Amino acid sequence: MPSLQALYLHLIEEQPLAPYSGRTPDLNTLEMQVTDMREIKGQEQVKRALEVAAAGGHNALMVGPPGAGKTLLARALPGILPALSVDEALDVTRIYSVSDQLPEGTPLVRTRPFRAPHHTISHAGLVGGGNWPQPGEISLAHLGVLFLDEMVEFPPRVLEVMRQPLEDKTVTISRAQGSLTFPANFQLVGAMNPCPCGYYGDPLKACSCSAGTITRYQKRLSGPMLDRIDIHVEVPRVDYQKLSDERLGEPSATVRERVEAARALQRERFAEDEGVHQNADMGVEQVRKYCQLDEEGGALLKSAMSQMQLTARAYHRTLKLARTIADLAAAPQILSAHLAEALQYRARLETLL
Amino acid sequence: MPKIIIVGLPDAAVQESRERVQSAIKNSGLSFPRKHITVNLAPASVRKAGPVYDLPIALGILAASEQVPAEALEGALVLGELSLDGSVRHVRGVLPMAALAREEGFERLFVPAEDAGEAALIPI
Repeated sequence: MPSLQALYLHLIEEQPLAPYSGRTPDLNTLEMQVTDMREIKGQEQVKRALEVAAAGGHNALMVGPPGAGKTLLARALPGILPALSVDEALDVTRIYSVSDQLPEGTPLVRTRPFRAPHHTISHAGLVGGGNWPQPGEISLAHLGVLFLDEMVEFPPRVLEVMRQPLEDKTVTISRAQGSLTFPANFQLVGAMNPCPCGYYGDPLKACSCSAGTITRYQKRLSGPMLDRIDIHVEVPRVDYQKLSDERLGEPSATVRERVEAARALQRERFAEDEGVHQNADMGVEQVRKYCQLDEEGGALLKSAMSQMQLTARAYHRTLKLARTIADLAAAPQILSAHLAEALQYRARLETLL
Repeated sequence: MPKIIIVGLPDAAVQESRERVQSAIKNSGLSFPRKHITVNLAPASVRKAGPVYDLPIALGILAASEQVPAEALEGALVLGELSLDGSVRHVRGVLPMAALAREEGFERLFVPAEDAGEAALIPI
């Protein structure tokens, strides 16, 4: 109703108000205005890694020199994410409604959220908080992507508060008045330089940092944080030949089709598992049930476990990642080739460069 | 001495709703009762925040002063911030509240015109 007077006239039955008859938004259309992947030259291995990340909802970290295209690649990510289902769209809209961030004229959020907070964000801004708790960026990125550009520039304390929500997929904020739980099932995507000058490991430009500075720089991401990131991928500089190549790469729409197909397999698999929608959501029980390895794969994982010193969490996360790679190939069984690709993404920061 | 008191753990925005409700009622061509009024927001143990209670409070006063028949409000959930001239302004969180109204079995839901699209996402 527009005013108190209109409501009054309705209630005394003088001038009834008509129920809302406006257009209920069409739930089937999906609008997109993001960078198309075909505009990005080269970086095929990074595109593949992002495709895997999108297909299973896995966390990813891109490391590379300045100007290699990390931010651009991340901005293309929303274009290959699968569409939101109606229930998911309502879930996301609820969060945006509560924090009053619905854009005018769009009563329903139809695209997966892509949040890219600046690194000066406070921990209350990231996980939510306040005297009267409001959802933070991780909740606003629910069912979407939280992109942290220049990830090492975020204060360690701010990053570490994300550790628990990354595992639990929800965040509980307790205040004297009571506690509130917000959903926070987001996919973390980070980008960073390998060292303060940015050129460590670059084949052309020499790095001007001392060994100590590099170690200190990389140590700003804690072990537990890195352990929660399934895909570590290097974004190298693009050479002239690739940049000047007039041919366009694969369009986002084609990649998204593959992602959707992999997601369809996952939906079918988890039809009976409450609260599990994508491979990244799997608990220990589902990993045991759905991520069986053949003999060859078992042997490969065994030797990788000892060589790469994987933690128990990394073991499970690798299996989930391998499951996604197998889904992209529409393979019912995880083969050793899928596992090998998953293990390759697991390479730690130090070994990446 | 006519005055209006709001109890039930209101925050500053809820306290200020006294002024908004008073002006809005007068500017809508209705009369604001010249009596001592106590508005109780129950349950009193839950903290109330935000301007969303303006319209419900105004309607409560209109019903108590018999300008609106009380049975006209039966089974209705009302949300909205009032401006001084009596128009109803946008409030946040309409979608979750509409979902709650449905769960709790309310038959009618009155929301600000601006937020109708959001509320309409929850089928009746």
